[in-house]
Amino acid sequence: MVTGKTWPKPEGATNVRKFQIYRWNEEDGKNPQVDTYFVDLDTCGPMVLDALIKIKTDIDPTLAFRRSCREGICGSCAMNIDGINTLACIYGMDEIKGDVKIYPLPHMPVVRDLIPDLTHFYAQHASIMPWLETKTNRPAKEWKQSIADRKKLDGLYECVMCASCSTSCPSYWWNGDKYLGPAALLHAYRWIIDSRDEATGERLDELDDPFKLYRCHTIMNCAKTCPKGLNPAKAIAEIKQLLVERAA
Amino acid sequence: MALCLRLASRSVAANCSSRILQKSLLTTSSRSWAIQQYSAEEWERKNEKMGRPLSPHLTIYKFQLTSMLSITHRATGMGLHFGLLGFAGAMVLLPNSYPYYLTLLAGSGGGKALLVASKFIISWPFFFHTFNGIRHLVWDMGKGFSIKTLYKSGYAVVGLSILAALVAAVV
Repeated sequence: MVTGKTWPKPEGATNVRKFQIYRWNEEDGKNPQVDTYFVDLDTCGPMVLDALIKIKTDIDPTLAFRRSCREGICGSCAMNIDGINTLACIYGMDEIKGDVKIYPLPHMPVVRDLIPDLTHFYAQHASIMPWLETKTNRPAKEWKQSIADRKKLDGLYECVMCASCSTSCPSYWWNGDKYLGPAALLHAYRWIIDSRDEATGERLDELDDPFKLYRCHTIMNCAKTCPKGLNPAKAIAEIKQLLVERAA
Repeated sequence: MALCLRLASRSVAANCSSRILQKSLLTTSSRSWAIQQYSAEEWERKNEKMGRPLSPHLTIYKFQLTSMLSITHRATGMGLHFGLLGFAGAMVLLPNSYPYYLTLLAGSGGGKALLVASKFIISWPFFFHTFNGIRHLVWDMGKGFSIKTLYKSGYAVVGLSILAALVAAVV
């Protein structure tokens, strides 16, 4: 990585942490580089996002990153921190030893600095039909579901589509154009096992090709990195089992 | 807004030619919404044309048990495959027999240490690939996916394969 600019240390600060952050923009014609910032932790919140906002406010307003809810529910601030993909707003700086290295989500086109182009990622999610498909006539009120059936959605519906898992998957790095990736597949499973959905057969048909589902080789980086504690690998394994049972 | 998104999703999903989607497309006048048809190739080309770099991956991602054991499984698999092919090829092509070459190795000056080391180097990939293979089969049955369990099973595979290779090397 090309060494970029080292920004000035804050004056009179005693508790200073070093940050090494990936920078790139389309205007200056330069290659990507890593800039060094120093943040006074005594006047900063505990999370990595707090530090990023402090850098943007006090040191370098040109640093670009996505953020919104600051509580781990919107998925905007997903990035590679200290080598793993996670949400900057809920990742404490105390969890990191030494300098804080921040990179954009891996193997994605970079729009600017820490902002990846997630168009394809979103399109893959849309392609798995993330809505209720029914054939029966609409009920008078709601589509009913038992408590046991609703429980099956736990660990699936909480996904915030932050892209941490898919961009942590080496298989998605190499085949992301055709392999759907853990996030889209987790959602595919969420709709497959939703008892109210009546298009299960079609959903499973859609996944039955060499690339969409089967590029998953159970590497497990996805489950390890999910900032919400979800397990896409398990969901993918369940889909594979359903396809096997169907063929039997 | 929700309808817009639903139609956008439908035109995206049109690339997957599913019966339900084709039925949905017919019932709504998606053309009048001027939604762009999406393709992965166009997306890749667009980003390339704009000169956007690809964010670093192998050079920055943390080495974890998950990915390291997975790539080792692939590497040992390749090693065993070509190793076996190589051994079979050597059996066919080389002039002398296996005991001859073994005696050659034994008398080469490396002594017992060389033989033990060679046996370890040859047998470890076999044991690792076998034990990790069983771990994979357990996953295929749907079991052992929690982070705690897969880390435990991962360490067990590494430990047992080293142990087994050591036994094979000294026996």
